[in-house]
Amino acid sequence: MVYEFQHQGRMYRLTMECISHPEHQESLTDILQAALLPKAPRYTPRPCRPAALDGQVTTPLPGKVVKVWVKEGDTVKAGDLLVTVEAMKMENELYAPFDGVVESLPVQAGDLLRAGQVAAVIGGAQE
Amino acid sequence: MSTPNEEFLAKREKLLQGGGEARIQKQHEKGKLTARERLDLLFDQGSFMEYGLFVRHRATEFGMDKVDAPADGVVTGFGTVNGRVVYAYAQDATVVGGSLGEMHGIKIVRLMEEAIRAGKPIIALNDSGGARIQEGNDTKLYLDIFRLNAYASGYIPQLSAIMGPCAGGGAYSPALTDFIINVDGTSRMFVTGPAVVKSVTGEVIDDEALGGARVHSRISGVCHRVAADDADCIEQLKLMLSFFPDNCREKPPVYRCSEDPDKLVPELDTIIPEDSRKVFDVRRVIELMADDGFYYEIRPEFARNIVVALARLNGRSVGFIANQPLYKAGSMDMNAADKAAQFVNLCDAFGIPLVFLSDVPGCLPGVDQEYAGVLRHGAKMVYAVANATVPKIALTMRKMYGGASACMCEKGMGPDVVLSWPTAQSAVMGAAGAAAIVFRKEIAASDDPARTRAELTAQYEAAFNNPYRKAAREYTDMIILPSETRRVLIRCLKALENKQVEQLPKKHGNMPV
Repeated sequence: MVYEFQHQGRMYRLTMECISHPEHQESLTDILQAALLPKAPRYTPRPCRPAALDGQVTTPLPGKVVKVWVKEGDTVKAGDLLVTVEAMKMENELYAPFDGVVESLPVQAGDLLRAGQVAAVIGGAQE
Repeated sequence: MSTPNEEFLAKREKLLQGGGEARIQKQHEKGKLTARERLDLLFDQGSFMEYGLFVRHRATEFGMDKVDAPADGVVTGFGTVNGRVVYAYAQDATVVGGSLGEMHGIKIVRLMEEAIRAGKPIIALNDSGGARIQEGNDTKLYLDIFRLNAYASGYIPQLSAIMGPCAGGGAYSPALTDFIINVDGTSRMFVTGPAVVKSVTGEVIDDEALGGARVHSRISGVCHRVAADDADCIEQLKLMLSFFPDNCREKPPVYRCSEDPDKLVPELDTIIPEDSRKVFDVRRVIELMADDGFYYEIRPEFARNIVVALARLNGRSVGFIANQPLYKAGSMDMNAADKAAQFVNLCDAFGIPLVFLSDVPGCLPGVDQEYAGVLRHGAKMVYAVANATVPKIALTMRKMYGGASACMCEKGMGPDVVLSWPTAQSAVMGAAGAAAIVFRKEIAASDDPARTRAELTAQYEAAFNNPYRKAAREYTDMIILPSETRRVLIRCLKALENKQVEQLPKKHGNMPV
């Protein structure tokens, strides 16, 4: 971009180019306007008190158990995959809510589950 | 002899102590800040202008003649938040429990009326035992507050924080506002408390289990965010405010974007799993598209099958509405529709463009959903999306099945631009179900029905499980690589920034509820 202008009887020529992206074209006004904008606020979520954790892992929607990934007595970590339930054309994954032991596993592959039915019980929640 | 000025300063100093040292200490022991400490955190230093510090109640019955209530238990005024004028009131739990009496109510009403005239946001910090029972009918000022909440709705942003008890009449005012944030551990929000519940229904429950923050964030969906403590609560209120204009006649504030608006996001090209039955976390998609990877999710713990979040694209506020495959397969249901409908209405009221990210297998079938009125709830979202006049961009990431496509702003709902990723697939229903209906006779007549069914399903799938069929009929405007999405959204929103829509000359619509 080249700007030519007159100021108090003197002629000026201002040439502006983008060094990092030579093909980029943007008006000086737009650049100055953007540079004067305030910085966007950010926020880092603060952890709240741990919620009362329920070891009963239920399926939120009705479906068919396609795979059970753990067995009773297994030690699991929070977020470990326990059971896959097929429903709504998707393989829905049920995870361990906290570190613990699989206390009970009342389902097996092929079972049809109702919404809200318990698929696994994890014990040993530590507050 | 003190001069009039000295006398004034001494009186003021005393009133600023609220309920006094002992009650302030009690408030702190509960992990709560006082009303004035909260306002100090909210406003830019020294900017707060207080109204009604010298207001006194005029109740005399039931011992009220002996009660000294500085500022009548509520601190009201305006100040600046990051340079913007904002009105706020904070109930003072150290003064008659922050209860609402006549003068307390008059102060709030006076402040709200000025905020509306000035066209500036209003923030309510609730911490009140409820109506001041000694004042009887004079607590009807609640109704004036509700009326003004409703009157100002969609004109100025109204944000509510629940930072202590908020019961009965007091709980309806927040429920009428745009945003409710509850402080974990100290907030209590209910229409009737545990004692009344027990006396009427016999149910025994404590106040945390009846109206604690987690109840409203997970079960009732009444609150939009939970805060760890008072300081966290105020910080989130300021953040929420940063996405909104002062009133609906202005544009949302624009912030500096340090990133190249043309940048590509290669990680998005591999975010959809190769196996279309596998799930992924749609929040990662929003994070990858948004400026600085920052987004603020609204109601993150409620109806998790849909994610609604505020973010910025090239420094400008945007509302994302995204199906979440990770929960309930991303299907639509009543709570998801309610959550999204309110968010769409909020963004539309204040000129925040909407971006829909779809991967929806359909609406969740079930007797309970039908009986509970999934149509009534789904209609709220369809109505909100159809009526929204802000720029609307719909992107099909993967599945787009059935009636859920109306919720997700497909062509016909008035989107400005419809985008598809190459992984997009859409039909009135899934391939297996469709083939079973369309090819019922062929499958029945076959020697090997299972094989015929599989073949015909594959045939139907090949026809619809791609974005080209929609593009050929102009149901999709652009097929783009996922990595290009951020810059496509930024360019389209730039083009649409002055979008205008003619409205019918009606009073207002009859929104389904």
